[in-house]
Amino acid sequence: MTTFPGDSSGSLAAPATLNPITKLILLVSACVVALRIEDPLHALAFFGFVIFGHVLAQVKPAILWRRTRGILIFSLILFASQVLLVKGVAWEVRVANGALMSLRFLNIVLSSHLFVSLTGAEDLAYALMQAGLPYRYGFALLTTMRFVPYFRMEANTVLKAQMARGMGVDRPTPKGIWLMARHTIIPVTVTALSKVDSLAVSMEGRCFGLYPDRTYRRRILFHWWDGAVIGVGIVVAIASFYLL
Amino acid sequence: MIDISGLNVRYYGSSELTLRDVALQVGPGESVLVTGPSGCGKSTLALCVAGFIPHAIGAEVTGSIRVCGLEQRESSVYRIAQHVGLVQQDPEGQFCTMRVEDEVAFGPENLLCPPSVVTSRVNRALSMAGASHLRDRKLTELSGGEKQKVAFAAALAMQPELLILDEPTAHLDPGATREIIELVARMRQTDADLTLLILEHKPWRFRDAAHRMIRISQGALSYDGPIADFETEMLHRLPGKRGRQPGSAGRVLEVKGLWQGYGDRTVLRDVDLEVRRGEIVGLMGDNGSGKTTLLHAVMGLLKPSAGRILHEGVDITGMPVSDRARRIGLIFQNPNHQLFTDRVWEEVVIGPRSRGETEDEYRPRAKALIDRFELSDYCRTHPFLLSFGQKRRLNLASVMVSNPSVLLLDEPFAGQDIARACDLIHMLDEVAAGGVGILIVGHDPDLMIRCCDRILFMREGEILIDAAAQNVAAELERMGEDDYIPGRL
Repeated sequence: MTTFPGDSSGSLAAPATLNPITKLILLVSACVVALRIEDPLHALAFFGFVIFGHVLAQVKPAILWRRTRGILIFSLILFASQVLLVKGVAWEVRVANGALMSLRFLNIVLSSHLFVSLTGAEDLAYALMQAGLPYRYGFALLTTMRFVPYFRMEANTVLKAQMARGMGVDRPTPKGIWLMARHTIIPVTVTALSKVDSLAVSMEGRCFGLYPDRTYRRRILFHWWDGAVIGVGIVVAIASFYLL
Repeated sequence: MIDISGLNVRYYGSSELTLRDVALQVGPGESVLVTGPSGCGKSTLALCVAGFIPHAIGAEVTGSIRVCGLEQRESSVYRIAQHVGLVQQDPEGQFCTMRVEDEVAFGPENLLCPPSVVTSRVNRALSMAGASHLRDRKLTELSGGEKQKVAFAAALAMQPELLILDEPTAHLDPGATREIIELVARMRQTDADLTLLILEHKPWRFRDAAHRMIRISQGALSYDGPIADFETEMLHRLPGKRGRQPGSAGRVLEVKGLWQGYGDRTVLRDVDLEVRRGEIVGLMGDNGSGKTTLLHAVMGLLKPSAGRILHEGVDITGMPVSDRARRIGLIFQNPNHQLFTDRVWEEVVIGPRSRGETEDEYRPRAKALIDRFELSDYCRTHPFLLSFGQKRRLNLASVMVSNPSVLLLDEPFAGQDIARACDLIHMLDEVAAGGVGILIVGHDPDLMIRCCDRILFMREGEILIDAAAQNVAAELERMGEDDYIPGRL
């Protein structure tokens, strides 16, 4: 699944006005609750809640389908394998267990997808740094996120170059896939190393690392409602240990 | 501002000096062009002046470098960075944030400037770089020229006394190149105290922005004086086109009514073209006009939404790429993208071998090509250890081993000096003389007109001009595409 930070079409996007750290804590709370749920119907309700979150965030259904169809297929396989392969248990129990396992998986992945759709990597990194994360780690996150699409594009170009040489990438066999991976790693690594050199020169050339701290022109605001939402998230996560 | 004497630089692990006995003085507010062939030591000189050599990049350095009153070897990179800005060749690789304003603010924030000061520096730098209108944009949404402007602004926000521009137009199309040339001239007028060091293969482009020029040849300073043009002499020495008449040979490639898109965006609109045996056809146009998409569609890397592609009269539109690779060869812009193995010999034979050919079949062809492209001494060498020119020749050999009758090249001249470009033109002439039809995508009108028999010009996915190379200038002028007319940039 490929996600693009802040890619919700939302102008409404109420959750987008929350501080990224608030959203991160909400995600952790949601994952805790998803793991604590033991009843398939509750898990289904949670699934509906997460989908509703996507609707609120105005994530286009076509985009959601394109990015998550692999995950949906995998969760169906998970469900089917529970129902068909587990022996010595009544089929109702197998269906219930399969549904719970699949929905738990979907709920965690879709909650993460919602988080990534609503939160730009740069906003999250800046928020974490302004909350006290050493800025070197914050920029490590930021530069990694920045180069992910770039290296994906580079790998794609290398694959095209292999195809253009008639190396059978368009007709993959197990041996062919292994060779394709091997032949992709070398050129992509060389490109990556040259980019890293260039980035290091650029960052040091602008005094990155000169002082233990740095200033920020752009403040990622933390409002009173962020505190309230974090409080609710934590209470719900703790309550899940007693109520579910 | 810059006072260098007796500078020798040798990279660790290398037996050769990259810079030898360089002496250079540049006064405050002066603007100096640094030119010379690729690999002559221009970038090494820039890295020395900016303090990265020897502090961040390991090299043995002797001699003296004083910049902005600082003795480089005694000053840290950070100290020097507060006086010297360096804009590297590829803006994409030097951005470390996601948005324009964050990128420009990055330097002042590292200097612990208060937010109000950072904002005022950002505003001034964006204004100087002519990029104020880009301030709210994401970096990924910018064109090549816009990215270069943001890279300028990011360096200017550090308020440097000396700004080094390393081949600022290397990967830009003519329109963006003109904008950058005008921007540098404007920067000179806006801030007369700013000292500029511009590394450039085509020094005449910056004649309005520079006071003098130095030339480096094989690591030594070979010229220091008024702006002169050494490189184009080489271009003029290229033999004229072979004078074939279009239509005198059979068609090896025909594209008929080709449409291609990405999602909702149409990139190619009803494209028709043909390439004849032994003909070199150039394809020019702005970045994003659809040139690379057209090459990829012809190669079969993209599936067209409509239209037909014929090779020697046979419809190959639905043919798999691996089969098409026996008929058509594609060379990408970056030679490193198409080097997959750990030996030169393996690199040449991997295509035929993976198609199931036996060694007896491919060996004679591979050996002949390795000899022809002067790579026989490097058969056991790792391809990444070759020079750029050797890598380019290896790319050609690796593709030609399949005996294609059509060769496609994507921007082979980008970032190349004239000598390298002339070498490539000679090689392509040889290949074409063997009856191969060649389609080249390129931006540099001076090179394209000398290299090609015929030029096509694309705009927004349509071919608007299809003319013999000697007539294309008049057509381009008529269309108002002045930046593509040879000699204008």
